[in-house]
Amino acid sequence: MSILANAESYVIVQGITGREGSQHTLEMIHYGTKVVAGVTPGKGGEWIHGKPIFDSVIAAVDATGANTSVIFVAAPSAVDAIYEAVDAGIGLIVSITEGIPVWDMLRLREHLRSSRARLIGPNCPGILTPAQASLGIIPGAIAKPGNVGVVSRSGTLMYDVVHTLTQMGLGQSTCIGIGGDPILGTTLVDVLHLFEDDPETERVVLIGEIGGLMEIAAARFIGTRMTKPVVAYVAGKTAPYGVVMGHAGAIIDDEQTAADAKTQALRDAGVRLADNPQEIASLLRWDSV
Amino acid sequence: VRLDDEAFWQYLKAWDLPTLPAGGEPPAHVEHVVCLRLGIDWDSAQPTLSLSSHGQELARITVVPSIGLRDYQARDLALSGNVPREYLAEFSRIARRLYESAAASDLTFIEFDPLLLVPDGTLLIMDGNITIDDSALFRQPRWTAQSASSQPSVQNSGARMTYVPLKGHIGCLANGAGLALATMDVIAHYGGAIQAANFLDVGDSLTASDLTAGLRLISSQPGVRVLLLNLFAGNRCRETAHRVYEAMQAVASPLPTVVLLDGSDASDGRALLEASTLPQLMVVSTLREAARRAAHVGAD
Repeated sequence: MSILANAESYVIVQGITGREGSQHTLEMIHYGTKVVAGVTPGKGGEWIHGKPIFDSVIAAVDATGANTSVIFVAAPSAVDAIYEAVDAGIGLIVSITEGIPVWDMLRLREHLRSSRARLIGPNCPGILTPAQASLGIIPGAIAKPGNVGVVSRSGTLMYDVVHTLTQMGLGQSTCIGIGGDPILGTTLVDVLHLFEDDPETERVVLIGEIGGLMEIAAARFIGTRMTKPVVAYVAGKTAPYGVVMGHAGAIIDDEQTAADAKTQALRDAGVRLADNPQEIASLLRWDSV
Repeated sequence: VRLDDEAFWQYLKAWDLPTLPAGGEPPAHVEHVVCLRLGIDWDSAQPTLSLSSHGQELARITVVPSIGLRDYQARDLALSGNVPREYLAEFSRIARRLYESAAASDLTFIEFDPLLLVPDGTLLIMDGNITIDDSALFRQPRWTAQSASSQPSVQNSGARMTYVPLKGHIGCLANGAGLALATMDVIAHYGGAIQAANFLDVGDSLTASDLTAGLRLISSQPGVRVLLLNLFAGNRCRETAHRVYEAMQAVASPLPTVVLLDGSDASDGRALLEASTLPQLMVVSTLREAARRAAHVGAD
C-alpha cells in the first residue's frame, strides 16, 4: 500500500510534447508508471514515447480511463490545464509548473472545494511510490519500497533525505513534495492524514521550511490526531526576515512563520526534530517504535 | 514586487480613487484617520480586508473570490472600525474599488495609510503601498516598468535564480531552495565564526550555464573566502560533475571550492571530480563535512 500513487494510477501527461514534459514522461515510463496518454491541444492523433496524444483531457480520459494527470504546461496556461483536468473528472492532479499567479490559485482553490479532485502542487516535484509509480520529477533511483512516508515542501532537499534513508535501509511507502508556493492544493496536514490512515506507512518524515503556518497546523494535527511517530526537519533557521528565499512561499513575515516557532510547535507535539537533514535517518531508527 | 511612489499615485488615478489634487493642501480638519488594507490569507487561500487605526487592527473580513466584496461586508468593516455612519456609502465604494482593482491587477497587498475621513463626507487617500504578484507580471505590463524590485533576482537561460547576500565568508550555491536553506543551517551549526555569505538557489536544472552564472556571482561577492556547492543531482551525478568542472574552469576563481555532489550515482560523479586537475577543488560526501571543511579553509 501507499498513498495517492500506486500501480493502479493510470496517468495522462498534460504538456507531454514540451521539453520538460517529454523528458520527464520518458523517465516516468521507464520507472514503470502506467502512462496511458498525453494531452497537447493541436497535436491530437500524434504519438510520443509510444503513447497517443489527445487534444483534450476529456478525450484522453474517454479513450484510456485515466484517473491521474501530471501537468507540465507552462505557467500562463497551467491553471487552465488544471481546470480542464478537474472538469474531466480526474481524481488526482499533480502540477509541476512553477509560477501560477496568486489570484488564479485563490479562484482555483475555491473551485476545488466543490469538486472531488485533489491537487498536488503547484510548483512541486510530485509523488513517488517506490517500485509502483512516479508522478512528476522525483528521481526513482534514490528510493526503495518500505514503510516510511515522506512529505516535504521542497524538492531536492527531500531527494537528499530520501536517498539517505534508502542508503540506511529505510524504504519508503510514498514520497510527496507538496510544493514551494504559498497557496497549495494539498497541505502538510492533508498528507499527514493520508499517512496516518495508510496501513503500510509506519513512520513519517516531515520536511518543512520557513514561511506560512503549515507546519504549525501540522503540529496541531500530530499532537491531537496522529498515532504514528513523526520525525521532522524545518529548513531556514538562519534565514533573514522579510526576504523570499527561493520558493515563493519561503518568507519569514513574523515570528510565527520562522523556523524556531515551527520547530518548537512540532517538538511540543511530540515530534522528533532533526538539527540537519542528515540526522533524520538516525532519528527514525529509535528503538521504542 | 512593490510599486514605487509614482506608480502608486498613477494606480489610484487609473482606478479613480480619491486623493488630493497635485499641489493641493491637506484638509484643515479631519474627522477620523484609518488604514484600509487588503492582503492574502495564505492558509485559507482567501483575500482579506482589514481596517486599523493608530496601528491597531479594529476589524477584518475575508472574501470569497467568486463572489467578491459585497456592500454589506464593507459596511460591517466600517462599522466595526468606528467609521461614522455618514461615511458608510463612500467608504463602501472605496473598499469595493480597492478590492476590484486588486483582483484585476493581481495585487497581493495594497494599503491606504493614512485614509482620511474629511468633515464634508469624503475620504482621501494620503499615502499607501502596493505589491504586485511577481508571477502575474506577464499579464500586468502596465505596472511592470515602475515596480521597485525588493530583492535582486538573476536571470539566466530562462531559469530563475534567487540570490540573497548575507554577511559571512562562505559563498554558497545549491540546486533548490530547501537545499540552499539547509546548507545555511548546517554552516551555522558547524561553521563557528565562519558563516554563510549568501543564499543562492540556481534551480534544479543544473546546466553548465546556470552553474557558471551562479559561481561567478558568489565568487565575486566581497568578503567571500571559500565556496561551497551543495548539489543533489538525482541519477545524473556524472553529467553534473562534468558541468561543475566546466563551470569552475570558465569562472577560474582562485577561491577554494568545496563540492558536495550527491545522488544515486554519486560515487561516479565524485570520482570524476577527484580526478580533475583543479587545485582549488575539494570533494566531500556529507553536508556536515562540507561545512566543516569550508569553515576550516575559510578561517585560514
